[in-house]
Amino acid sequence: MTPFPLDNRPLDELAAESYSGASPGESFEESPKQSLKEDRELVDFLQRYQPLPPPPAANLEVRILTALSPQHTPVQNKRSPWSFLWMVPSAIALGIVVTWSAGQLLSPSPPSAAELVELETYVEDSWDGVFSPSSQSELDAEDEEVLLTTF
Amino acid sequence: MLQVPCHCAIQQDDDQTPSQIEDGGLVRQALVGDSRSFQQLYRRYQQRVRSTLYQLCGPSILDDLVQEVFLRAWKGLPRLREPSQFSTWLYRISWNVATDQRRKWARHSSQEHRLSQLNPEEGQEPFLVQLHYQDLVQRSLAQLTLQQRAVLVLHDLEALSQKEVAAVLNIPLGTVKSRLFHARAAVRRFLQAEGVPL
Repeated sequence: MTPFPLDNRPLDELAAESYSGASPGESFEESPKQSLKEDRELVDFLQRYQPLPPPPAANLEVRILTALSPQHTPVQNKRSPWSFLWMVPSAIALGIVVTWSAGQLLSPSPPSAAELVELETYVEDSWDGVFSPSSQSELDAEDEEVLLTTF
Repeated sequence: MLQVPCHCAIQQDDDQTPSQIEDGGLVRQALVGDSRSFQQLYRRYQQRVRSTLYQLCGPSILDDLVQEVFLRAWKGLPRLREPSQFSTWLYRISWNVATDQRRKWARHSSQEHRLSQLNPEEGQEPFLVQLHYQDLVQRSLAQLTLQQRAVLVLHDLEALSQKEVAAVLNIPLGTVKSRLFHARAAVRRFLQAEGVPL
């Protein structure tokens, strides 16, 4: 077995990592190199004799991968309520377009020249009719008729 | 070949087998539902996860804990900001699962009993000395606090750098150095007291 099967970093790098930036309250009584050598021996011993975990159950991999059910796919979990925020400006823009279109469709078209002439004629006739004697007499007759039926 | 339910699987690049793809690439493919990529990540890291959980929680429900780690990882993949940091993130999940389990055990007051259950590898004929030393290492780790043990296991047994250990445990680098120093000292004292020449 190699002395350090998992950690192949150079000794200097390990030394720098182990002893740079140690907390102020700690005192290293031995020289860094001495302690580093002892640490090396200790780590070597721990790695060599670390208890190995028991082997996994034969079907563990299948069990785990089967549990990755479709309803738990990361993609589905990724959607948060905030992911629908893009719909807000879209809805506002759509509303503006619909309102403008409706205004265009429902607003009356400008009258034609013939319609304007007809309208002008009607207004003039109506205005003249207000002060015409025939109209006044017709109104008086109507009033008398109403009075007679009342009494 | 193991048949795996594969949802929306992405075709692999012919020039790049899954084993050659870096963690980040596998994570990105898993994110779109490719469980084969996640299977590759599982095969790549299950032994390290298993070993870490074993040192922290013992053997009693090791398979369940490993399963919990990878299920949490699968569900949490969208929250992994740096896919290339998958391994560090996975160790962090392992640490969370281990601490959760130990809290459960603490509530049932059977923690020490479970930690003392050590099953040597079956099917081997180990040397007596090796068994003895393995027992000593196990006991020396068991006498550490969980925080010290986690630092020692991740740094000295799993060969993570101190920065990675700090990221996994979410503690300052100085705290990692301090815990490592004290953990090693405690383990050394224990082993020397048991007659190991260190």
